[in-house]
Amino acid sequence: MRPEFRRRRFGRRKVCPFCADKTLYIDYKTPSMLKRFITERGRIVPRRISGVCAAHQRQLQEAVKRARMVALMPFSMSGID
Amino acid sequence: MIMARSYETIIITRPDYETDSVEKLHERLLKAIDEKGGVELKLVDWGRRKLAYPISGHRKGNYYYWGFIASPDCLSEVHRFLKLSSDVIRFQTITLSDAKPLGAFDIVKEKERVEALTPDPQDDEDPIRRDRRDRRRRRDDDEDGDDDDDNDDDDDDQEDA
Repeated sequence: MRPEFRRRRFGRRKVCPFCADKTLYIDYKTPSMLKRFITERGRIVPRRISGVCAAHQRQLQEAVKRARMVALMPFSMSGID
Repeated sequence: MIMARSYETIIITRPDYETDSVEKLHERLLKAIDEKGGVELKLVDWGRRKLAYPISGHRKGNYYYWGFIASPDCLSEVHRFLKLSSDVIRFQTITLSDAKPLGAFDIVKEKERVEALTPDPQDDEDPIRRDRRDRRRRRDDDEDGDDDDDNDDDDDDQEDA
């Protein structure tokens, strides 16, 4: 194995918060929980940043989009009204 | 045999909507369910909430959560009615279960399933505003930070970068 691939350059391995805590349920009706996974502008945080696993990211994406449709979460936030 | 699924619908009505007209709306929904084959599971009033973005000019809306079992006919009737109703500004239906004959539903179990989670009322506040206000308070905690939201645009871009 080439040396640069041996380990990550910095930081520790992120663990998917939903795999770590099985009781956490991804639901579009709980924007307070989903809010951790969107940026200040209202975009969904990529999982390479948040560490969410692929399966849970798909559920998360669905939930955020549903929450957006019923105005529980914003599509975008400009900061200027 | 009538096949049916269980659904949950979020209904947002205009903020100036009266309680008795909600009952009328509910009655109408129940009628649709009775006629076309379905069972009501639960209606939850989430109360008046600030919308995350304005919908047809409204900044607030009354939220209702409605769980029910319906045949396809029944669901389209419900949707048709909600679409026609001028007091409903937004609705969204989520399918909860696979298709089963109407008689095969375990009503008690389905009712447990639609124990609706009501959104945290604190979410009403715009997160950006709250964040800015919090930071401003931390910065100058001798001054009492009011709810004003302007004159702080400069740190916006840095956060996003």
